[in-house]
Amino acid sequence: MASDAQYTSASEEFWSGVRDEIPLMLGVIPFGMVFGVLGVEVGLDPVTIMAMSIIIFGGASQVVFAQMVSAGAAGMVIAGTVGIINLRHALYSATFTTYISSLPMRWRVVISYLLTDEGFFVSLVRFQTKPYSPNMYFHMVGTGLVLWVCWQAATLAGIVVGELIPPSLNLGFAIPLTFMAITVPQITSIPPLVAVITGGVVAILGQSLPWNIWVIAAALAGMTAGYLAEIVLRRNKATS
Amino acid sequence: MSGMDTELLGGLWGGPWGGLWGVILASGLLTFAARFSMIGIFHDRELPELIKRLLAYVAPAALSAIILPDILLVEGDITFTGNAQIPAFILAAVVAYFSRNVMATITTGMIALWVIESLF
Repeated sequence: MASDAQYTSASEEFWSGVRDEIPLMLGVIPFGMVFGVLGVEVGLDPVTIMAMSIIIFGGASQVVFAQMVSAGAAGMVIAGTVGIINLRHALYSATFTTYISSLPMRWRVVISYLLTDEGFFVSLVRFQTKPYSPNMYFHMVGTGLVLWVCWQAATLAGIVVGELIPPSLNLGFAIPLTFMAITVPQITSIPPLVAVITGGVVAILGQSLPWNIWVIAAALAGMTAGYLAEIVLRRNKATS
Repeated sequence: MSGMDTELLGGLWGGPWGGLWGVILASGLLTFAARFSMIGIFHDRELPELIKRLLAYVAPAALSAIILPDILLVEGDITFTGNAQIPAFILAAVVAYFSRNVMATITTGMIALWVIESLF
């Protein structure tokens, strides 16, 4: 008994994940509704829109997907863009494994499926600031599940009652706000700032690029610029 | 498959991956592959340093690439005048920077947008 008590239990971790995730729903629920509304506007049927939320489960990439449908982009470019936008999850995936080493495969699958910006960054704070527990991956199950349930419910609500939402509420603004709230804490030094600025500028300038490849171009340019800035800074430090 | 999808397929979904469901499945697969890559497959291996350094900037670059056009572009053109989203966004960014609080950031941004739009 005493040996178990030194670590937080799976259910304690799970519920603390649930509690920690709830504040983000303020942004995620309008976000999901906006996606549902957008899907209907673009001409997708409800089953397809729900399938996107369940199969892709990546808010920003789903919104871009729907926008690209209305822009008439080719299927391959759309899938490629979703892939690039969500490539950042490979980093979250790598970061996660530095905190959790042994885990049954079924939980690896579940946690991978639930891995998102809004869940990961909340659980990362727990991994970094609270004592280690072999059960702490349940924190991520908690954050991920809250997000999943709310995302599906919000998508459905957007599809069903979307037209009742007055456009003057500008709920769509919750999307950039949610991502900004996640991005700003990542800007802790010059290189990520360079990545943010480059990504944003290339996205704006690249709007007229063919095949709607502006997201891919901006992400690649931003990540390269951030990396180069890191090298230059390191070299300057070494020579000074 | 519904008539609407078939219409979209015919009009928009050219290329070798034709089919809306095919594109959704491919998108889901690519997304899951990124998420599963290290957790599920390479968890006992260390990523090459270069890849790790590059990946560190995917999140800020991609998120910013999605955010900025959303804020600045109105019907496809960069619009600064009469775009209430810009001051509301800047105010929310200041709150985000100092508070690091998601709820405070979103609340500030939305309320600022409503107030500015009702004033002008």
